[in-house]
Amino acid sequence: MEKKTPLRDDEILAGLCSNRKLEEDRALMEMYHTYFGLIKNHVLENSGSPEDAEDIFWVSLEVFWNNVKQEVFTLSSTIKTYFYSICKYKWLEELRRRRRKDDKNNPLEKDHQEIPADIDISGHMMEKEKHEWLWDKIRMLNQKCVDLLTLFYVDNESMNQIAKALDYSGGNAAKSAAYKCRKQLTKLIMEDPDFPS
Amino acid sequence: MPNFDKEYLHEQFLRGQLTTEEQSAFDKVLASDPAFAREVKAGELAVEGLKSFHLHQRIQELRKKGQAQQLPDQESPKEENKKVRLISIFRKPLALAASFALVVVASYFIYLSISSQSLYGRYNQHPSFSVTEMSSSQVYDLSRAEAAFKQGNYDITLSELSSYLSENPTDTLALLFQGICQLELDDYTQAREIFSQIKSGTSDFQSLGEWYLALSFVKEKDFDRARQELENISTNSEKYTQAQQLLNFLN
Repeated sequence: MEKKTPLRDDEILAGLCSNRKLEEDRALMEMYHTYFGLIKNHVLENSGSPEDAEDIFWVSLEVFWNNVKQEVFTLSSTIKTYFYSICKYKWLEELRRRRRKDDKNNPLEKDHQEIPADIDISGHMMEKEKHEWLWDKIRMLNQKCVDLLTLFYVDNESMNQIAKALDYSGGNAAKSAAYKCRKQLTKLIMEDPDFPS
Repeated sequence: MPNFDKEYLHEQFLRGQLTTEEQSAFDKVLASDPAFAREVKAGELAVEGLKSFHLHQRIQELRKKGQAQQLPDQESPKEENKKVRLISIFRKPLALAASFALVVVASYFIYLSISSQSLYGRYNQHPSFSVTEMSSSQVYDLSRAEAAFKQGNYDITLSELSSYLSENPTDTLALLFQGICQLELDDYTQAREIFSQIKSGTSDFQSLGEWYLALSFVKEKDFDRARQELENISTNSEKYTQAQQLLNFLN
């Protein structure tokens, strides 16, 4: 039986940016099959558990995916080097968080210096706090609003397709609902004291 | 230059579809109208949030799927050693018919599995795990439970919640989260017991109990029971619209 050919770096990146679920899933699962073992070894060798490795892998994959979807993203190394750096950074961050909590020595101080200096992660790291702040606002909307806004702004679907999918009477009704939902979300954002004036 | 509507420009900007002419009109409005500029900034953040929220949900979905399938770290090397016997099915009509039937049956189950999983995934937007509301007692620190819940680590959330619930068995919100975790871990019996209890009670979370009971049947692909439960969700429920939407999908 013919063995499935692994995806090349450029194919993984193309899949992650395709906006097509099937291709995105294939690229993400390729990342899992190719790199999970590597990340697991790193975490296990640095005071972590298999569960920690799972957490770090998926959190880092989310960061990686977010980064590659940015228009300004350029990969200056291989996926392996870049992704491994993200994972190491995330694991180090987690260990530091635990150390602050436990006030115990952290064995990874040395390891941090092993992250290649030419790989700039900080600039690409997902702005986790900002996103969680935004997600809290999104969670305040009703589910239909979230679906509607996601289909319109994330999936770039047409209003007629959205109307069919979400059971609106037509494109105009969906458009008007999308406008209201967006207004509701921007209002929630603007009314938050943390929103920059 | 044509006179563009501000809202139209805002929409085009958020979708990344401004033409050069529209872009220059948009820049002028932004420069002259600070209130509009502020709203555009909020709109930009909203879209950024929607995009990252969507990715976050997809990753969680994939992670759950991976856990359910017990994904291997790497492809098993044994795979390479498997010997495959190729049989010319055209010489064997019975084998051909059996293969066809197998493909049809397998496709049906794959379809059922994908559709119910994605349907459940579309509706399993859980409420925020609110520690301050739940931990009235000073003794319990539920921050680990909260963090674990946010990351989709439901088994950890469950173990963190269990000691709290043993002391506070009537905390309906904590019970609800216990049920949600059990549902996510496919422990349908336990989850339904909790949701039914909440549904038949008089707490503020009664409608969530009804909703999650219905969702548990969606997740387990028992669509008839799911329909029955969804049809019972009254118009006063906060989940009525979603229930109707889900019913439309199921019908």
